[in-house]
Amino acid sequence: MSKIVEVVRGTDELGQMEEFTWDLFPTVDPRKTTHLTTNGLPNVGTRIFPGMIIVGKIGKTRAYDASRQPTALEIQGLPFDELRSRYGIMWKDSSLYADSRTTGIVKEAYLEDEGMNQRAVVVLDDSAG
Amino acid sequence: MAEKRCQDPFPASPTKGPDTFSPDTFSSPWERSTGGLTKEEAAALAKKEGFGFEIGRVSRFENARDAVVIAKSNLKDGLVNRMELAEEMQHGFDRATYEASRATRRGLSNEEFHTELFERILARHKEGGYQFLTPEDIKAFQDAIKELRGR
Repeated sequence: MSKIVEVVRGTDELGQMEEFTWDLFPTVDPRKTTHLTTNGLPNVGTRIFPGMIIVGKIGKTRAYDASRQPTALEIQGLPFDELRSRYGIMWKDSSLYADSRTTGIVKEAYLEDEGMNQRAVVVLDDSAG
Repeated sequence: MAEKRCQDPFPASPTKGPDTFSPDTFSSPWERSTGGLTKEEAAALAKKEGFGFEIGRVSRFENARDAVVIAKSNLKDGLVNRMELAEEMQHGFDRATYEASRATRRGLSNEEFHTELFERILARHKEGGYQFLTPEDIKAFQDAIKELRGR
C-alpha cells in the first residue's frame, strides 16, 4: 500500500521563504541527511524509519545575523556539536520527520509548484513491511 | 583583550543581498576570478579526486557525504567558481593531515589558516594538481596570500 506525504514550504521567522534542502547545517548533523537530495527530497529506494527526515527544510530565526556566520576554519575545524551550539540558534530545522505512520520505502519524490510556492510530495510504499 | 573577529576571505555563505558580509572581506571569489565551471564539470573534477559534489547552503568539504559542497548562493549564472572549488577540494585533501583541527589547536586566525590553505593549493598545482585553475586564478591566489599576510 502507498502513502503520500506532502510538505508545503512556509515562511521563516523573518518572513522569508523556507528552503527545501539536504543541507540543514548547522542545525542537523549532516550524517542524518545523506539520504536527501539537493532539494531535500529522499532518494528513491530509501527505507524510511521513524525518526528519519522525510523532507529536509530550513529557515532563519529572528536571531539570524549575517555578520555572525561561522568561518571556514570553524566549519572545517570544529566538531559539529560545537558549531551547532555556537550558530544553530540562527536557523530552524522545519523538516518533516517520520513517525510510526509515515515509514516505508520511497517510491517517488518530487517538488510541485503551487502558485509562487512549492510543495514536496513523497510517495512511500509500506507493503514491504 | 577584545576578541579579534576573523573575516573569512571567501565567505561560506551568501555574499550579496540581505546576507551581505562585512565589506572588508574579499567578499567573493568572483571578484578575483572570472568565469567558472558548470556543475557537471565541477562534479567530474571532484569525482576524479574521489570526492562527491553537492550544491548546498554553505560551502565546505562535508565529511558525511565525502563531498565538496558549494553554496547555491555562491553560484554565478549557475556556474561554480574555480577558486572556490579548489579551496573546498583542498579541505578534502587536508583531512588526511587534520589541517583544520591542527590550525585550531595552533591558535591560527582565519586569515593565517587561509594563507596556509592557499599555499597548499599552489603547491598542489605546481605538482600537477588543480589543472582546471587558470593563470588568472593562480595569480589571484598569490595576491590573496600577500594580502592575508599583510593583515
